[in-house]
Amino acid sequence: METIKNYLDTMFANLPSTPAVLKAKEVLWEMMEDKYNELLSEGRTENEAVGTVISEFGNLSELADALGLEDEMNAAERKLSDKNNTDRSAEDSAKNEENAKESDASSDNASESNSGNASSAETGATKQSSGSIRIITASEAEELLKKRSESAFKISLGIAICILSLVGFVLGDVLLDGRFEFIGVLISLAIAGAGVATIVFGAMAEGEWKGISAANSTLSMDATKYVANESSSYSRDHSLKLTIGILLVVLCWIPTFIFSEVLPRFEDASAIVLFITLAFGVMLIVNSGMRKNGYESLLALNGKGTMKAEYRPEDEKNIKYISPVAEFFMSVYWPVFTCLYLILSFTTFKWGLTWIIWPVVGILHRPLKRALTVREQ
Amino acid sequence: MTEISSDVIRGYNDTMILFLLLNTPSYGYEISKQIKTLSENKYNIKETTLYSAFTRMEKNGYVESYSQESADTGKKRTYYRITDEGKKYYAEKCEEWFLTKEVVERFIEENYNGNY
Repeated sequence: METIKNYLDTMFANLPSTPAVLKAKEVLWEMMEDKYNELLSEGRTENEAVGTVISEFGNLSELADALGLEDEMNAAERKLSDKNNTDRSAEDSAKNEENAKESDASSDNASESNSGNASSAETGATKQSSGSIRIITASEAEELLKKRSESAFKISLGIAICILSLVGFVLGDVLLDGRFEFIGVLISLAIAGAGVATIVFGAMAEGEWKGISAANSTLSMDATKYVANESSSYSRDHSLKLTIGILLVVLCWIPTFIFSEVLPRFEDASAIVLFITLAFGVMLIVNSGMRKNGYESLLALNGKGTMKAEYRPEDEKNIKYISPVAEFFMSVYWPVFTCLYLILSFTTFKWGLTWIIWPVVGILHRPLKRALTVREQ
Repeated sequence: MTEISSDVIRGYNDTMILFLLLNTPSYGYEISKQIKTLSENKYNIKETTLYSAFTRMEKNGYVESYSQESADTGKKRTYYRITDEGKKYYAEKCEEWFLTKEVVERFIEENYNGNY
C-alpha cells in the first residue's frame, strides 16, 4: 500500500498544486486503493497486487488533456529549461530538450510495462530530467544531513574555542600577576589558532553541500518525505538547544556573579566563567542553527507551487518590506543589537543590567516586522 | 490473441461508462471492474483513462460527481451519476455506433487470413 502511495506521490510530485490536480490525485488514489484491496481479497500476494495496480495505472500525459493541465505541464517543463538556460548555452539546452523528450518516452514505457514497483517510477522521473536537474535521493539526503551535522559540530566548536581563547588574557593578566602578560597573549593566540583551524575543518566537512542550489537540484519524493520527517523530529531538539543557548548568552553574568560570591578570593578570575558560559551558549546556538538550516535548505529545493511545495519551509525571502530601508534595518536587526549588547557589556562590565537589551529587543521584533512588511491579500 | 486497440476504443470509453451509470450511480473502481467483467476480460481500462473520461464528461455536463461514504466499509469515495444531458449524449453515441458499425462492417471480411 505504501509503495502505491509513493508511486502516486512521485507521479504527481512536480505538478502544480491546483484544485484540479489535488482532486485527480485523490480520486486516482481511491481507485488504486480499491483495486489493491480487491486483489488482496482475491488471494494475491501484496507484491502481485502492487505490481498489478501500478502497471494498470496508465500514464500521466493522458490526464493532462482532460484536466486542462497541458498548459501547466508545459509551463513546468519550460521552467526546467529556463533554469538550464541560465547556466548553459542555447545549444546545450536544445540538446537537453531532446534528451528530455527521449526520456519522456522511456518513462512512459516504464510506467506502461509490467515493471510493477514504485522504484521504476522513481527512476523514470530521474531520467526525465537527468540532463538538466539533479534529483537528490533519500540516501543522498541522509548523507548530506550527516555531513551538515558533522560540520555544524566542528564550526560551532571552533567558534566556542575562539571565545575561550580570551581566557588566556585573563590567565596572563590575573593569575600570573601581570608579570608574564605575554605568556597569556601567547596562550590566547594558540587557542584562537586552534579554534580557527577547527572552523576551517568544519567548513571543509560540508563537502557536497557547496554544489547544491535550487537552480540545479531538487529532492525526490522519497527524499522530501525523509527530510521533512527528520526535520520535524529535530525541531524540538532545535528549540531546546536554541533556548538554552540564548539563556546562557543572555544570562552569562549569573554564573560569573555566583562564582565571585562563592569564591571571592578568585574574583579576578571570574571572567573565565563568563567566557566559558558564553562559549557554550554560542556553540549551542550556532550548532542547532546550522543543522536546522540544513533541513530547510534541502526542503527549499522543492519547487514552489508544485505538489511538493507543502514541504517547503516558510520562505523568509518572500517577505516584502515597505521600503529598502526597512528591509535593511530588519536584516541587520539582530547583528546590530548583538554588537550593541557586547560593546555595552564589555565597556561598562555591568552584565547585570545590559542583558535587559534582549527581552526588550526580542519583544519589539515581531511588531516591528509586522509594521514594516507589506501585507499580501 | 488480438488485443483491443486503445486508439479505436477511446471514442467509446464514454459510452461504456455512461451505460454503466444509466441505472445507478457508481465510483471509479466499480466501473473499471464492470467494464472488465462485461468485456469478458478483453478490455481493461486504465485508471488515468477512466479519470480523464470522468472529468471530461463532468465538464460537458454528462455526469455529476459527489462524495459519499461506502455503506459497508465507511470509506469515502467519489461517486458519479448520469445527468439528463448525459442520457441524451448516450443515446446519440449509440446511434452513432450503429452507423459506424454499419459502415465499417462493409469493409470487413470475416476470417480473412489470406494473401498479404
